[in-house]
Amino acid sequence: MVIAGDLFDGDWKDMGTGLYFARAIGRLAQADVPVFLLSGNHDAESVLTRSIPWPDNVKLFGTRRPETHVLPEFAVAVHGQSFATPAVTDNLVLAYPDAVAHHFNIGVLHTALAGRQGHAAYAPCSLEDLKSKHYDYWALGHVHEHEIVSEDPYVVFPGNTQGRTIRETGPKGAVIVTVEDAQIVTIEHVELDVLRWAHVEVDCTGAAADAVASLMRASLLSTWQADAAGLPLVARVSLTGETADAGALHDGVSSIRDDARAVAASISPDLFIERVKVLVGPPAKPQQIQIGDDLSSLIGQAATDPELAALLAEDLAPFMLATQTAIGQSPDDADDEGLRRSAGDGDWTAVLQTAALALRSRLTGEA
Amino acid sequence: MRFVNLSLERYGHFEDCTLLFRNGQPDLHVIYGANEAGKTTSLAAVSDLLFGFPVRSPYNFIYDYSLLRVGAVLEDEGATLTCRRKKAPNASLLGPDDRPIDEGALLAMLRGQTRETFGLSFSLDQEGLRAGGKAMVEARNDLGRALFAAGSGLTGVSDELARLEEEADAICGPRASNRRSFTVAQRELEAGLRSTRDRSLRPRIWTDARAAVATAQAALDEAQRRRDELLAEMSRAERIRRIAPSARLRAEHLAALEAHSATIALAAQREEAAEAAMAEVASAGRAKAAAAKLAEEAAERVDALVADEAILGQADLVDALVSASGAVAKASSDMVRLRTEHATRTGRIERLREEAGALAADPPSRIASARLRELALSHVEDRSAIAQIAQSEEELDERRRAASGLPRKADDDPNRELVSLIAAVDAARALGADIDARCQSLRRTADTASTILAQSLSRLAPWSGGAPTLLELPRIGQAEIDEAQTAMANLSAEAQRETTDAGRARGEAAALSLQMEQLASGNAVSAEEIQSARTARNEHWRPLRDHILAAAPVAAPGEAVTVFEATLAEADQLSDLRFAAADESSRLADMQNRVAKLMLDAEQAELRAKGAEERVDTKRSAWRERLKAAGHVDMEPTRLVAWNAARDVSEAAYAASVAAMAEAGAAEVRRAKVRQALASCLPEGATPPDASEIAPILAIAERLRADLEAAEHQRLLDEAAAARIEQDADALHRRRKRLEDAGADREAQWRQQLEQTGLDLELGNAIAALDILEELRVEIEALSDLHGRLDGMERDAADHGAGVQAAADTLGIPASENPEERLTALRSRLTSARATAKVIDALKVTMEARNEEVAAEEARLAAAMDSLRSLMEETGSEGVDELAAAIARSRAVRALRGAVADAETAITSAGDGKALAELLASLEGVDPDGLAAKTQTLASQLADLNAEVDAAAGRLGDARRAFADLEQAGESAIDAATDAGQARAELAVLSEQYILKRAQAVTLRWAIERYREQHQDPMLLRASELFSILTIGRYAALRIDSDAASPRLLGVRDDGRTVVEVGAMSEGTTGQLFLALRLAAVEQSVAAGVRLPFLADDLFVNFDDDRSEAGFRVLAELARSTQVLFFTHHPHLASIARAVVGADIHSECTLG
Repeated sequence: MVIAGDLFDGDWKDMGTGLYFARAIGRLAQADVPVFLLSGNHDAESVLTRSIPWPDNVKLFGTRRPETHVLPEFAVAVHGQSFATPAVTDNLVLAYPDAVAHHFNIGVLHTALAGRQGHAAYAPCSLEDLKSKHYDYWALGHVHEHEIVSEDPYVVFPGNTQGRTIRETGPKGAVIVTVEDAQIVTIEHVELDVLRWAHVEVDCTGAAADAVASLMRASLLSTWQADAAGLPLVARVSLTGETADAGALHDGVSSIRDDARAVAASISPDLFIERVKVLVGPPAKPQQIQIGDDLSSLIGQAATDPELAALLAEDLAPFMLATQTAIGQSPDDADDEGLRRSAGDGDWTAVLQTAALALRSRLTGEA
Repeated sequence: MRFVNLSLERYGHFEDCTLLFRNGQPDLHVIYGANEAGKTTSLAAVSDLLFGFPVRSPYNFIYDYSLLRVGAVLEDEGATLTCRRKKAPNASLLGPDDRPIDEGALLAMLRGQTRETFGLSFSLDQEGLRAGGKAMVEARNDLGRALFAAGSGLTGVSDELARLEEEADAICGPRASNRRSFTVAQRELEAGLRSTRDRSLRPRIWTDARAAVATAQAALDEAQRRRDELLAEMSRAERIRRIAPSARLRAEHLAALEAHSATIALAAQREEAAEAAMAEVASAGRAKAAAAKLAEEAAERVDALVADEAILGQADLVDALVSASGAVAKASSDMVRLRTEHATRTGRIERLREEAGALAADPPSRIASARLRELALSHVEDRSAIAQIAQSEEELDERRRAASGLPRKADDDPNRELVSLIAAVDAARALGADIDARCQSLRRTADTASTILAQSLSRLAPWSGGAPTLLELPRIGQAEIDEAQTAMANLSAEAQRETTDAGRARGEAAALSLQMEQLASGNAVSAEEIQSARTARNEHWRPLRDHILAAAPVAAPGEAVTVFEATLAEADQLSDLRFAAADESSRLADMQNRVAKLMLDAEQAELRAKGAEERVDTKRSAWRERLKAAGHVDMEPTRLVAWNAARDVSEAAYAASVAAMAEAGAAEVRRAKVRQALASCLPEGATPPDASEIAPILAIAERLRADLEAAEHQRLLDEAAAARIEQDADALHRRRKRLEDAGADREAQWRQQLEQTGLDLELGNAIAALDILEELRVEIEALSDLHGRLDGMERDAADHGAGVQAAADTLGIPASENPEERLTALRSRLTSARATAKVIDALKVTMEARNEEVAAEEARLAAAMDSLRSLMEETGSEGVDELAAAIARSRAVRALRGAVADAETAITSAGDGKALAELLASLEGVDPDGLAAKTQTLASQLADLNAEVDAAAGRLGDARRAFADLEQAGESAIDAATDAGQARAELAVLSEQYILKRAQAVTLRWAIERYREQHQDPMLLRASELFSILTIGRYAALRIDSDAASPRLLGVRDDGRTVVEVGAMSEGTTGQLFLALRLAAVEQSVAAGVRLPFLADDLFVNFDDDRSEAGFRVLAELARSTQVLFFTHHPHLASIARAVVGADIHSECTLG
């Protein structure tokens, strides 16, 4: 078994997790299965990795230079170098040894390759560098998506075994490689996750505010039924489309959230709602004759008024500070759109547009 | 935009109701309708027309959704729009031909207003006025809010703002609080993070715990090792202590053995055997001596005794006498008794003989007597039986007499009567208990049905007639009706259209003619003018031409030329003019053509219209004919539809009526029949007068039936009793016969017996005599018995006495008178002789036994001595005593050896399995006494070490447990991390909501402020004027108070000085304040370009007449800017409006 790094989250300090894993490896030890363990960036900063009592079948890779472990009975050689620190920006592949003759060579490396979108550069290297070593198989780690980068030789990211946020949707697991006579026969991705994430888009075009619940139900139900694996599902529900009731939907987002949760609970106890995002907009009206200084026009002008933007910025400044300290800016929220993001970036126009929509709905709805 | 008219074609209950709003100032119109006339409906119609029908309309109660139509003619800046609205999701705006038209024109007129904004800005009802007044009070300290509320019509804006801020505050506020969801989530996040940290098992802790376990283990091992050593030493010491005494003993015993070196050891059994033998010797000797002694004694005693032989020889005899004496004594006492009895019986016998008299001479035998007795008894029994029978027969006679006293009825009559009565009653019952009620209700139903029928028939007016006629009336089908209706409608529409077209054409023609006239009066030159000019020119040219070509003379050539040139010029001029005005001319010509065409069109259209109208008439008359032919009254097709429906109802009512009557009749007939049957069964005069109801008569019948049945029952009983009487009589008779036969039999037998026994007795009283005879016989027997016994007894006594005497003499016993004494002496002597003999025998026996014993013991002794001989030789003993000593010595030796062996065993057994030699060796040089002290020391040391080991074990256990606990701590850190994650997500969601709500609140505040800035001055100025009018001058103006924290509105009283806060104004006044601001805002909207009609729904209802008049004046002011439609139920308001506006220009429409 080859683990290409990032076993434990860098800042997770509970030894229980490590012990659990060590016990599991112990079972492999009883079956005499050798395990090759490489440390990646998270492992390098984790206190757990140092303290775990590894059984005998576990072979670790050192950090100073690449090491090679040979299994003579299978004619297999495994090469790898662990991360000493969390941020390694050197190209480690260059120092890897050449392929051992008449052996099936496996290279293990924790890297983002070169120029992978969304990842900072960790031990950057190019596909050519990998190919130049003439190994038979490269087991790479760090990228959370399963990807077979190349087939000659096989350069494989197995992905992680369990999606951790809504940004990691779809089945997750590991890769089983079958080798016969030093030839790779099959590479099979097996699903190992116990929970799946999914995006659920609910098209609310032209829908009335009270029809949204049943639209959500329909979308959630079809997503749930289409989920063949039968695993618990965490869904982010996004309401999209253009509807005349857009303002009412924005205004009533908390009750929509409650509805979504109730709907999910009624479909299955294993269906959860991660978040509900209201992304509906008003229908593009054919040239609306904005005459008069009344309510409608005032609220219509609200979105672009700089004085109002300044008022709002001032009003929300302490709150933004409070949330910054309380929630912080975790990398998971990095791509998250939303009012908080807009407010944080100072994009008051977007905030005021949504507010104007909701406000108009509140005032005319109740009047 | 204003309404020229509003046409409720098919809406609510309206059909083709058009409200006209005349042009002209002020554009104020009152629409009056009593309650239920449709005021609210017509108000709704306005909105439905302008903005479309809502999805659910409540106004389809007569006309189906698809038929609803509301139309209007709208006017906006010179443009007119005629449109109608139907209920449809799209393309709902129609033209007069019911085809959809483009909504663009209407939308442009609406200036972007929606139904909601129109409702807010351009309409107001009583409720709104009151709410507005309240809003003014709420916003009394905030001018901006007041203006906003009044201006936009959103009177709830204060509430909305408060609500937004409250909702935002519930999430987050300046101070953290548990009721704020953000705070709660924040705290949960912190708690979760802290908990994760706390519960995370640090690796260091784990490794430390592991090391602690190892250390504790080592410590334990060390302590245990030390304790083991100590224990070994202790056991050693203990061992020595244990074996020391045994060793000592052993040594002693060995020393003693030394002394016995010369002793010959014998086997233990031999010793025992020897000892046993010796004992036996001793005992045998003793026993022998004892037995000899006893024998001697016995012999002495024997000699001492003497036997009495004589009496012993007579022993048997004496015994017999003695035993007999008892019997004799008893007999003598008995004799006394028997003698007495003898005497008694003799006496009795005498008496009996007396009683029996002659019969006593020869009493009958027992058998005969018994037989006779039997017969006599049965005779007595039979007699009593016969007496009973006689009594029963008497009773029977009585009964018979009693029975015959009752009247006997003939069998047939009651039965027949009863049977028919029962049948009638059952039939009545079968009808049911409530038959009367049912008949009544059925009758009522029939009546009701016929009433309904009459009513429905009357509803068919104008047609009149009876129901059968109606049934025969042919039916005109729905399709036909529809067709006729559609045809007529179409035709009339066509006629209308044509007429309109004709009218239009004529109008156009007229207009064109007018234009033509205008043109003609201009510079247009007509063809005729040119023609005449040219003719003139030609005329003037001809002579000239003649002159030039034919040299004809021409008088005054210069003149002719001049004239010719003039005419030429004129003609040219005219031509030019015409050319110049060619356009006009052509237009004229064109117009002319057009006029002609138009006139033609008009004529044709009129013709067509006429034709269409004629066709309509034809259709109408055809329709009328059709109706008449079908026997109907003339009515419109639509009306016919309704009439047909009513007809159906009538027909159904008729059928129902007929059925009901039939049912009622049938029930009554049935009932009458049964009643008749019942009445016939009753006796005359019992029938109640009420001729129809069955219940009373049934009751009477029932009672009669009960009576009859009781009588019948009684009769049957009587008959049964009589039969029984006869039966009983027969039985008695038979018995009597039997008894009498038996009696005769008995008589014969009696006579027989009397012959045999020779007695003379009556059968009747024989029993007593027989008894006496029997008794006598018995007594005589007894007496002779007694005799015998007495004799016997005496004899025995005599014998006995003689015997005694003889015996006593023989044995030499002194004589005595009393033989008893002698007998007693005999007896005693015999007894003592016997005793002595016994004793002697016993002693002899003893002697023998003892002698035997002696011999036996002697033998035993000899045997024992023999057995000892060998041993005595072995041990060199001369006698038993020496032998005993030798044995004792041998035993001692063995004992010692045994003791030594025991001691050694003890040593080895207490020696923990070690070898004896080793153990003994270990005792070398050890001081046993010092051991005690040493053991003490060691024990205390052990106690200490034990404690140490326990402590170490405890610590190890703790360390292990702690380590195990660590491993099991398990999921709690993960749970805490999960909670923290959820709290963080919640915070993100809450912050989104908070930002939105705050943005909404800030925007609303800003909008209010903006509104205030933009509208305050002009609006307040105008509102001030309106307020003054509305309060009839009580308030002169409105003023802003800028001194307070936020600007607020104040009213200025008519004296120009007194200032009143809004909060201090009355409810009516705040309403008027609101109205003033509202209307000022409407005027501003109109001024800004949004000119739409203002709809007032019964305002001023709660005002007095003066205020209402003021209100109308204000509305009239508003009506200068835009149309005002005032809907009301109250005629007095309409008349006030008329008064304000002026009767001649007052515009009023009436609904319903």
